[in-house]
Amino acid sequence: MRPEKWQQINDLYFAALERDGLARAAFLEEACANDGDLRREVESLLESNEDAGEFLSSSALAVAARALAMEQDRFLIGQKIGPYQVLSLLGAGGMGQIYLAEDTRLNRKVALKLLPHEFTRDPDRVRRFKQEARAASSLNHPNILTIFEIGEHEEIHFIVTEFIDGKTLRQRLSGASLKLTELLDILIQSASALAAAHEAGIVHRDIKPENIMVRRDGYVKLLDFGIAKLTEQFLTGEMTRSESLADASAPLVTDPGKVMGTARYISPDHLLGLELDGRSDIFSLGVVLYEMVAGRAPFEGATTGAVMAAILNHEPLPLMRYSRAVPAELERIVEKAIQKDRELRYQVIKDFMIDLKNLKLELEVDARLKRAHPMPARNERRSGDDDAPPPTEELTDDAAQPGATSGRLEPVGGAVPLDSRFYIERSTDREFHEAIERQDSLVLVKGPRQVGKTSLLARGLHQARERGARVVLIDFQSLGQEYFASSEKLILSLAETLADQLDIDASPSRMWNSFMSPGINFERFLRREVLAKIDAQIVWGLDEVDRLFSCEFGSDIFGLFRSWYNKRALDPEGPWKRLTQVIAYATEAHLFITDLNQSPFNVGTRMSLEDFNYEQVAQLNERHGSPLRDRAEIARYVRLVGGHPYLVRRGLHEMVARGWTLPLLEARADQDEGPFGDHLRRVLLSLSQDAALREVVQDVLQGKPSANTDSFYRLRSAGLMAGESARDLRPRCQLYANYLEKHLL
Amino acid sequence: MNAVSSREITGLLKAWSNGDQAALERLVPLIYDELYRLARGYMNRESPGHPLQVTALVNEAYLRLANWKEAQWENRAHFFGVAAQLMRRVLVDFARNRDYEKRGGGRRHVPLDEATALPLQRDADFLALDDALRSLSAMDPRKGHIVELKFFAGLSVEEIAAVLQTSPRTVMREWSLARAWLFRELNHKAVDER
Repeated sequence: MRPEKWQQINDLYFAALERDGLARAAFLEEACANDGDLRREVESLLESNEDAGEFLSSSALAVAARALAMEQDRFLIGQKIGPYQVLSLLGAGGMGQIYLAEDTRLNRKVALKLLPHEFTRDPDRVRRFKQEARAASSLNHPNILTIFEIGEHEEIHFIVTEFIDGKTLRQRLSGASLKLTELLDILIQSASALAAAHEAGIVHRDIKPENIMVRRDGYVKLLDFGIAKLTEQFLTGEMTRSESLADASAPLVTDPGKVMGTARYISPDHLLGLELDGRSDIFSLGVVLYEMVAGRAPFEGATTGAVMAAILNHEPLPLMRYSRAVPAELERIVEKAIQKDRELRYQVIKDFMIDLKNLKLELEVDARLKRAHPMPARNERRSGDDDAPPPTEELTDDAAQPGATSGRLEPVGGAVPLDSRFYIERSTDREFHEAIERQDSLVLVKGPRQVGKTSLLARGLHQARERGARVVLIDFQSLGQEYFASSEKLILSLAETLADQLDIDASPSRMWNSFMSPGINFERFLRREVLAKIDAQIVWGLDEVDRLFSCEFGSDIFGLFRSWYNKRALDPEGPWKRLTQVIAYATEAHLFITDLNQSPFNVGTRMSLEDFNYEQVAQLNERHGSPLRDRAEIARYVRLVGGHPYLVRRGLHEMVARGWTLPLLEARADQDEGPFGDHLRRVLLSLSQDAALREVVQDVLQGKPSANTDSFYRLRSAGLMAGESARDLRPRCQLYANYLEKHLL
Repeated sequence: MNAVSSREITGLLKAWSNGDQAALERLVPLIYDELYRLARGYMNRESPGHPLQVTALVNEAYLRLANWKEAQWENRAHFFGVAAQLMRRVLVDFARNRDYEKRGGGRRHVPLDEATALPLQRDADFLALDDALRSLSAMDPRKGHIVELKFFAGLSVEEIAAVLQTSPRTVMREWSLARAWLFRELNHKAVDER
């Protein structure tokens, strides 16, 4: 570039910097009146300046050090710290990184925890820390992690403890589901450790699933005794500075995932700043128990502040709401442990522990009795499970028991619960489960509304989880409008939901790189933080994806899904092989997609949900206690509602609930206030949005088919009409025909 | 580190600026020490409130390295120029070595966008920045110098203004343009590579 030109750019840039908005535009307009290139150059630089964000805002040394720190595992591994040879990174604990190391004097494996430099810069804090850690190390209990040494080597402060070959309870919870007795056992061992500590006057203060280790042999070890208090002084020092617990942007939130993880277990006494005693640990352990049973913590919120507010003010949902198999006694125990008023809680951990032990004993006795006198008519069990204890112990699996023959009804509509006996398996069920088990890259489930897509998806995810896969579910219908503000916003939100559900600490927004497109950012996040760190298959369910059809950047998102599929195809043994996307969408939208070739997916394992066949309707009839009395009635019923899964079940439900016979049901079937009214009105509504299609339907009803290929496919894939060709087009079932005739002719 | 006084460091810097390569060999480990010390500070990302504390650590590190806020050189501008070049050279080499180690060490294949050994704010790397900065200096040496002082020597706008005997406002404007230019350059490069 010529120096004069560059000087000119400089002058204009500086002058423009002093103006903004319209004034800037007007200035440039005038100053570069006849030089478009010049103007573009200056504008491009001004834009870069705005986009540059934090670019180069910290010094080179800091940037380099931060990069180094991110790869610390590489940088410490192989080094020797005192007599300890660092072997590998085990994870990040309450206060610093934990490495597997070998004590070269004794040739034994140990866990080496390094305290962060910031924490140890203050000698006073280090002294207090050592004092506490020594007090904790005096606790001699089989369920408390043994501390070997608290030491220092070349400015690195460290703690050496026994090495536990096992998983944290958090990791354990995300794996295969635990039996209730196993879960109680973990709690009892933890309570026993706490009882010893409380007796010695030590409160743990930071009980959470991350601090409870479960060894391979089932032994439980509690971690981080005594460290909690100091961590906390460190934390609350910051917190009081912000003067508000509920301030979501408090400095506490340097790593939102982490802090949120801790916040869920904090007792109200703790939040209120009371002098803590053992009852605070009881509360936290109660929260852990609740979470183990319900699959989610009792007090939730979108921010740390909201979680804390919930702990102080909200009543948790009863456990029964999550699983009907929860014994009433367990509900009582949990409720007592997580009382907000500590006076109403268990007063000593031993009482809590005794109740847990008794409950466990009771369940075991029950189980033994049942083994001697097995209940008839259980659902089939997983194969290869002969030695497994009887199903009553399993939380997931008890619902059908009471009244299995009395035909107890469940509400119809929405997904059929996992434990429902009104769920009918179709051939697609097997195909679907097989596709997930094969770890196919992209599995698509499509069908009209209310044919069972969500129910199938839920079952697929459930089975995958049981096999040890990590599972994520996003329901597009439940996403608020704000998610759809822009393609970037949606993609980032998807990444965040993914991280949240997989308990990944890294926050996507923090590694989002404005240099790159959101899609590339998401891909990088998936590859580096998800696929590189989670060894298991990841099954990502996306439900109600048809919402994207009406969204202007829907195709961006579909393109993203497809690009991962392609990555896998290009590198079949690469990390992408562990990602299985399961996408469910309603084809009703096909009514409004005028060019069916625009259908979002032409890759992946595709399956359409079929209607129930005669046998399946008969089966469901039987499970309802046979309101249809014989094969002839069943056949008549199938003609009326076709095999439409929702309609079939709705009708049977109504017959049982109201004691109707088939003729009574038939008489009310096509009425707006009848049992199918809501469903039928929606059919009519969707037709009324397209005059041309409505005409085609009118013609069909009058017996003079006029459909062309396009309207034929649209009506058929939307599930309104059936038939093999345009000439053969007919209403999907008698019920639709009757209703549409009444309203369209 | 503690064994070397800031006076000695100043001496080494002088020697290096006069072409004494042995001085450089003694300076490099000092910078590495600071780098590792800082890295340890960053290591626990959990520790709360760290942005502030780490900033303090960074300042300390620069202070220890040559005590350059206090430097009483006959020519301050010259001194800071040398110090900044030293930092630039050491850190870029450091990045290059690690990059090389990663690619060539045979440990694993590093896809392109992971190969950026030392992320700047977001993911461009020191090597690319070094190149871009060279282009900038060729066109406008003064801006290149400001970037060196600001980014590599860690001086504030006010300090740079004092060194260059001009107003902070002027430094601020030139820095803004230099930064925008570099950002755009790296951005284009990142896009081209894809």
